[in-house]
Amino acid sequence: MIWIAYRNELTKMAHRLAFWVSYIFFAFIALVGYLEDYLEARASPDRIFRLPDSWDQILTNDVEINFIFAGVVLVLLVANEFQWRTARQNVIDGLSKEQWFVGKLLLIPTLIGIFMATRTLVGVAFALAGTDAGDAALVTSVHAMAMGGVILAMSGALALALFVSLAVRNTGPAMAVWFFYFVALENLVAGGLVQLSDAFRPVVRFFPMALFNGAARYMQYDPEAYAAYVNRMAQNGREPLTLFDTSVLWGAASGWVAVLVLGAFLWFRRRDL
Amino acid sequence: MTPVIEVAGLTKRFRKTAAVDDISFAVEPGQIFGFLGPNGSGKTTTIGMLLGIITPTGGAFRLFGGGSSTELHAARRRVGATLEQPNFYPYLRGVDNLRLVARVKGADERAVHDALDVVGLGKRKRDQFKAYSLGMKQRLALAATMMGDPELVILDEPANGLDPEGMREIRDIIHTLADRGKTIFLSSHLLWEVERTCTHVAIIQRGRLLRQASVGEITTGGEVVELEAADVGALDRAVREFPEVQSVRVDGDRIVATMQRADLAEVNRYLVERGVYVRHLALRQRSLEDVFMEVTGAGDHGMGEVA
Repeated sequence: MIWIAYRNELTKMAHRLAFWVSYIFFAFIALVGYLEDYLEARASPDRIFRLPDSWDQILTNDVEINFIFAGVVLVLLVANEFQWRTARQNVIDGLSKEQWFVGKLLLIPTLIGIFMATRTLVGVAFALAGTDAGDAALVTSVHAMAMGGVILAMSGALALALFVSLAVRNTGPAMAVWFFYFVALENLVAGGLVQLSDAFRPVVRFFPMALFNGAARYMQYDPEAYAAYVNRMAQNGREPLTLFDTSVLWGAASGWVAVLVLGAFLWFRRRDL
Repeated sequence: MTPVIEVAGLTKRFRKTAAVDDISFAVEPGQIFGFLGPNGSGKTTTIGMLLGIITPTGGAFRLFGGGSSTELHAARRRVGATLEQPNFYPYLRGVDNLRLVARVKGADERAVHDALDVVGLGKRKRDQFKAYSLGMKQRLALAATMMGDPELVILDEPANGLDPEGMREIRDIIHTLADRGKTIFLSSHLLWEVERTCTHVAIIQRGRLLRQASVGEITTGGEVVELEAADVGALDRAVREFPEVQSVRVDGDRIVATMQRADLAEVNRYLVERGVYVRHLALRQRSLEDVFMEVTGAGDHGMGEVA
């Protein structure tokens, strides 16, 4: 039955104009971004855009765009079900609340796959144009870790979108709440707490978006990239970010994903449809 | 025979308000069961609890004899239902909406097209749901309830907002389903529709079940007299004092009185003696609407949407 619920979710998504508009816009942004990188690399010997050197650009640059587009699509696919009362009808038709929820939950890996694959494929296509034969297949454990980090970060952002959608049950407000939290609220709260007392500094590092953004940072996985960053910051006289141990970062971020998914489920199950 | 629906002391409270208050009833296989009540009486909440989308705060119910959560989930696979307005994905075509339902119900592609043909949407099945008229939406909802060949069909206000032709079509479809041996649980406030369609009824008001019986039983006992006079107030007062009167209500310019035994000549003589001269005096069969008005007292407070 879970397979049926998931298959129905795919059908609804594939027929949804809003999904395609979001996806095409996202793909267009990726295309323009990587085309620019490719053209700049061709025009200037100082710039490079080739594999394996540019995996960091392909995987993690402007990764917030992945969060935003996938999050918007998820909110549209979940919150609308309550305005149209189709969530209630799905349960009347024979899905249990648990099956309905799992169908929606499976949209998270699906959207991550779609959006990440699109961005990676477009980036790789342009990067390959500037790559010498024989080097292209070079993917190191650092790249794999960075990709894992982005997947974890997207899981977090989408779990938050799922939670908000099921709590608010209305597309516009859900999108506004999710976006406000994503863009501003957490930073405002964290900033306020740190201003209140420096003792909060280690605490706010464990806030959800702080962890998710940290997991999507390429230098978290590449010591050379981090060293170069520390040098740059030192030259500018600024304090560099202190990175988490990767296992702690992933453990804490995964914990937040689990909390958000469990919270969304319990909230959804408790309320009448 | 095991009742299809068995409700015992079912209650739903929203904070301090009891939307459904300790109701009990049973629906036997093959019945077309009308669940009557004014808007806000608790009909939809009761159905919502039966369908698992509203959690009861008290009491219990069984579907096809099963009362545990596993049994109820399995039993709901044998139920086709629509609650309030038709709920479908507006951007999907009619046929695609039914395909989603068919997958959940385990019905095949042929069942989708058969159901669309039964409700007369075969030619419009490729239109988006949002392009359908209200009548077409209601018919699509009926088609969805047929998916998986359910043994129990629950319909909540299926004729809401329809014109007389649409209502007739819905009634025909309900009879088609009944002819196929389905048990039908029909919630409505359209009393004459229920009377023409149902075999059994239950009347609910302010969350409480007031009466349950077959339509035949409920409409027997007492005779109904319609009266009209220039001075409705005087007529009303006089009729209320007539010895055989059980209940009186005002219906527009007319007085409708239920009497234990009605002899029109005697009624007329009684009124003339009190200086009331009627211009219309007629005896008719007691209708479900008459019973409803008596039981709920709706005639004393205006009928609202119950008509």
